[in-house]
Amino acid sequence: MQTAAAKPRGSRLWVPALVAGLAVPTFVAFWIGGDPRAGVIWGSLSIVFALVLAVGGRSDTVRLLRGEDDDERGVALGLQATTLTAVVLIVALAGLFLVTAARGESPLVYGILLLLAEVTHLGALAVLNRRS
Amino acid sequence: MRNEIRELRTAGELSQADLARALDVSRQTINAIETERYTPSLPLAFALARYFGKSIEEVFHADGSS
Repeated sequence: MQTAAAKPRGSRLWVPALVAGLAVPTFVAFWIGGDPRAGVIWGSLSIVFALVLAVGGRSDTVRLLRGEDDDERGVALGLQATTLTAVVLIVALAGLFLVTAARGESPLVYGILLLLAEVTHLGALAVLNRRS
Repeated sequence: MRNEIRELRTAGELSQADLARALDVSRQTINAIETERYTPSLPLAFALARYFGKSIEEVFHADGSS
C-alpha cells in the first residue's frame, strides 16, 4: 500500500519545452500547406503558452500543469481536469457533427473523431474493468 | 471528511511544509486535507495516522463527528 509521492518529474522546463516544440511542426504543416503566415500565428500561440508555463512558477495551477509535486492529489486533479476536457471536446465534436450535417456538408471528420472517442472509452473501460 | 490533522500538526509544532516533506506529498495537499477540500487515499490516511501515532479512526471521522 503506497501513496503517490510528490516527486518532481525531472526539470521544471520539460513540459514548457515540449509545448514550445509544438510550434515547429505547426509552422512546418502550415508552410507545406502554403500558408506560412498562419503557421507563425498558430506556432506563436504554442510559444506563448509555453512561456506562461515556464514563468508561472508561483501559481499552484501552473505547477500542476508542469507536473511538479505530482502527488496523489495532483494526479486526482489531473484526472478530473482531463475528464472535463474530454467531455467538452466530445460535446463540441457532436455539435460540429450535427451543424455540419445540417449544412449539407460531409461531417465525416467529426464522425470519425466521435467514433474514435467512443471506441477508446469503451476499450479503456473494458481493460480497466478486467484489471481491477 | 472531518479530521484532526491541523490540531495534531500544530500540537507537534510542525508547519504544513514539514508534514508534507515527512509524508512525501505537496504542502498544498496537506492544506487541502486540513481544510477538508480533499479526502486522502487510504494509504495516505494510514500514513498520516501512523505519523502522529494514532489510529485512523482517531484522526479521520467519516460521519463528521469529532
